[in-house]
Amino acid sequence: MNEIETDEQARALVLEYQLDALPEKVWRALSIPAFRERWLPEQALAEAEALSAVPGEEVRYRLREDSPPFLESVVIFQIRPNAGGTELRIVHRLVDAGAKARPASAANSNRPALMRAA
Amino acid sequence: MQVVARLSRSRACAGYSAMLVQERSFVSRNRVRRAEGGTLLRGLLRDPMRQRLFNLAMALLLLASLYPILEGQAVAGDERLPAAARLANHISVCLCDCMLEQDVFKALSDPTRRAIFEKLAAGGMNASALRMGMAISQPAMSQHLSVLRHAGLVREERQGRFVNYEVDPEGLTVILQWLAKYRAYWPARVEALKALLRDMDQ
Repeated sequence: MNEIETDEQARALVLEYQLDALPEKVWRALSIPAFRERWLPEQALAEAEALSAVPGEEVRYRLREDSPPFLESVVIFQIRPNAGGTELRIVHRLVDAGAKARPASAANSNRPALMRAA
Repeated sequence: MQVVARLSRSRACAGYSAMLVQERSFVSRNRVRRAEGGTLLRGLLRDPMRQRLFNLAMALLLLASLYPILEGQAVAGDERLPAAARLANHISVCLCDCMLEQDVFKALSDPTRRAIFEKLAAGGMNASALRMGMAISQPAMSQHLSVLRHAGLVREERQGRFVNYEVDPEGLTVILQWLAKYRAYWPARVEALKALLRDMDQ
């Protein structure tokens, strides 16, 4: 596993893996529900259907935690051929925690104040 | 006269450092402020040696900014004066933040602590109620709780003779918890995917 970055600002997890199988085969494992179910169970997903898919390139699923606080997120699987195998890139991002998980900034922060007119 | 001047100077100085301390504790209490450069710093300061050097530089900067007060050239509250001190303080807050983040991952990397944290996520309770259904001694439990508390994930509240523990509801930890969970989740899923790929026909 190769962890590329954890972008706090975007609240995303980006992971890259090298798989031995060919991209066509990986694509089937990612996109065909019966295969997907065998490694990414529906229980982790908000809906079993993919949000969007670009055949042979990327597929997106929506996830929802099965325990509190039930955060929702979107995961993007991107594949591309690499040295006789496949490079799999997972980009996983929170979608709804922003507002409630990021309280108002401190009143005495060092950021320039935005004054309200009148 | 001189004594009065010196007295007011030291008072100004004390007031000023109190202000810094106050600001800092306010920020760390909120534990949510992500200052600009925080991401960059986090990467840079993974190395303990760099951390030490950085702290030294910050201390010097802070000292330099306090110099005019010590010399009586300015009084606390002077707008021009605190800039450098504020910057130093600002950066050291970033530093606290990135250390906090490392603490969070360390705290949640232990399966027992994760279980405790998840139990508390469902509702606050005291340590003995927490221990129910878990094969864990009382000292071990308080050790785990102290790690969780130190990482800012859990807070305690004294209620008479009992201490109640609950998930610290302030923002950042929720996201960090999510990140920690899926950081552990994906490698396991990809292993399952690899197993499936071995099983599938070409």
